[in-house]
Amino acid sequence: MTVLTGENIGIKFGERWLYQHVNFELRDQRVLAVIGDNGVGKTTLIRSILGQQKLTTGQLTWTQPKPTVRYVPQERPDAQDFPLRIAEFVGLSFDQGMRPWRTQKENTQLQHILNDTNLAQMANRRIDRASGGERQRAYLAQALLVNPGVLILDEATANLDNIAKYELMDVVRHYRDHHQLSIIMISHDLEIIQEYADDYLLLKPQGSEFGLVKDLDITQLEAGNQDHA
Amino acid sequence: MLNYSFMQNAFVVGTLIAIVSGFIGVFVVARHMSFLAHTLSEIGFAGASFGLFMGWSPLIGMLMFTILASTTIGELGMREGRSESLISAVSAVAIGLGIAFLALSQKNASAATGILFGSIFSISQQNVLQVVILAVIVLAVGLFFYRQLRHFAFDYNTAIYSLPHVLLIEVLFLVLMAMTVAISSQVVGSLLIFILITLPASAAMRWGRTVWQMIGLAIAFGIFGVWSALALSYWTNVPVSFYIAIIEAGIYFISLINRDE
Repeated sequence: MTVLTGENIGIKFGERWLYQHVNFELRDQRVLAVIGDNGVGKTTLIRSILGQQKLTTGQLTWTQPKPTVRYVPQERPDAQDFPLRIAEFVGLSFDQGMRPWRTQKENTQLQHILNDTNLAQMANRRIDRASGGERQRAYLAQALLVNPGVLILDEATANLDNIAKYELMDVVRHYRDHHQLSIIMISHDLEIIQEYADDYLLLKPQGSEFGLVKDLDITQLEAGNQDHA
Repeated sequence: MLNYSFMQNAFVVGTLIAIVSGFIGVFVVARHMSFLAHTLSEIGFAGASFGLFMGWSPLIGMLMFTILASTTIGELGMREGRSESLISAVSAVAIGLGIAFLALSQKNASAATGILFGSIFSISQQNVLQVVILAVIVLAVGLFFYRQLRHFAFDYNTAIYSLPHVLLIEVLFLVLMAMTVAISSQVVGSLLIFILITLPASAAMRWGRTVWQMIGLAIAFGIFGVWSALALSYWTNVPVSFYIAIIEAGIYFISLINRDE
């Protein structure tokens, strides 16, 4: 089943086309990696998917009913400012309704997510003192708390060491395998993409490509020291 | 001390304001808007003197000005990102207007000091009622939208994508902040507004580990400061604002020492 289809997408900033004729599909329970040079407009595409940026041409079509989308942005300055417990930070996602306290059901859900993201042991520790890996898992948990149908990760592994980034992506994969979740990830990390992504969308000003990651021609990305992905 | 009706009024109003300021203050500090709150108090000064000039209660003028300003420059400032210069310009205009209206209203200097530094002992019965009503409104609305405000203030970067009506929450937050500024000025005056909004919340946010703990502590610090200051002021005849300032700043400085888990 296809969750989101992008057809003939083009985005123009002023007189300059970021890209045109971009086609892709996000399929159910699969991971789509969005790759491309710095500045090509990967985050801009994400913003369109989130409804914050208008497309110049083309359209995005959601499956009906539209799934809940959760975005994990790259920059999270607020998380380092206050000594909230990790569990409380994750619980910020309960932002609907008018009950000033958490219900029993919500507490169960919170505990479930903390377990799934390996944070249960440190749920009472401070978010501003957590390691980079723990913090990324907390961001992930916060996004997953409302049981979204689509999760968008923006460079989630960028500042993590080799162990922490595999740990994070294992959590993502495990969660995906056990829930109705599709994932879009922006990443520069080819190893991570090859290990965890199913499909890729390579954004280029001309001739963007969409396909299966196993068919992705890595040599083209590494050629000429261009650092495409 | 509590036999005098002016002291009873002062305790009622002071306590309510400490509660409201602590509650809203936590969100203001979390959202990094202490500076805007301070600017709003200067705008409130202009509003209060406009109120005097028009022959209304200063509180009404203050509410009008702060709400109008918070929803316009607040929005502007949030969009701009770097808004220090804008806010300085607005402050300058506000204080200038305040002075102009004061002069035009032909009131004596004590009206001015009352607005600037607070006049809780001379608060009228009618004013008490206004403050009580406003405080209850702010608290009720704040509690009603607690979850939305919490996400908005503590993790803005995801709240903008996850809250369905984020702009509405933003405006609501600014209006609540403006109302809090206006009513808090009744106790500490518009110059010292941050001692009840920013300082107790900032201290609470170094100790609290959940948002409710932070709010609880901020309210406790606020009430402790207000009650002690009222009593000290009654016995020593030194202005209440002075004592609140010293106590709240003292609590904040102590919180800075608390560096570990």
